[in-house]
Amino acid sequence: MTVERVPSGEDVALVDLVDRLIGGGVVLTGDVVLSLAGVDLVYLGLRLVLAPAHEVGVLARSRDSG
Amino acid sequence: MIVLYAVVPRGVEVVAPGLCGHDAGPVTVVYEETATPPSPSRDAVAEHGRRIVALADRGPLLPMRYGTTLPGMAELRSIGVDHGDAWRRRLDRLAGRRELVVHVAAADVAPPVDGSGRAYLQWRLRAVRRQDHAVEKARELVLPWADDLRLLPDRRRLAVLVRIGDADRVRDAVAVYAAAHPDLELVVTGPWPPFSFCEGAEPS
Repeated sequence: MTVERVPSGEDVALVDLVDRLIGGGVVLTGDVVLSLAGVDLVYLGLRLVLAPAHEVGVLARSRDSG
Repeated sequence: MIVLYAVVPRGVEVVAPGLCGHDAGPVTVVYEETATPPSPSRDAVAEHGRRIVALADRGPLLPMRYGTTLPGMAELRSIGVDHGDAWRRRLDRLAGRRELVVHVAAADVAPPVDGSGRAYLQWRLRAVRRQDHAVEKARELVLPWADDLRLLPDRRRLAVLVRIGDADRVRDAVAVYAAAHPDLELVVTGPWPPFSFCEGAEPS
């Protein structure tokens, strides 16, 4: 029996910090808020780290179609 | 351009290199003026996060989502007028609280030798049920200390809002539970600023 590993030690804390900064926090919308290109790629990378292997393909396809 | 970091109660002194505070009614918006937009690199996001974590060590704080950027001070003043009161209400609800993130990974069994699609789907269904069950057990475990709780989108992590003084108790409880369940992997990170509990900060 194996366990699907989560990142360990300081790595997992760093992943959580970056993930929550991109996926959480106060969201401001409106014309005055400038968009930032490329953050979705960082977010996808985190999702791949956090997701079990069988979901990675789904995530990648989801992003490609979005 | 203006890069927003966080919102803190008005009167909190912002002492951090490069960061400034703009008073907006009952709150102060912490920001940085830069010539270039924030980098989308993971290192840049992490460094931005470390600055917010350092700010959170000084008192209650609403973190802004990374990359929230305004053209200039006029827009910052406008945002402050529109959101200041709502942000203050949310800050008051979050005062004295931090976020823990609990990772939950259930044991998986080897895939079936029978390579049929039906066998694979049944195997995957059992794995998903094991994972959901493990997450539910973790939720029940931390619930006594949780002021609020969210299952994050990957369905493998719980964001738990706890009083600062309870953070070590939650860690200890998870460690004891994990020791008794070797078929699970449980990891707790934080305490973090309340990244996952900022909704409700919109103007009413």
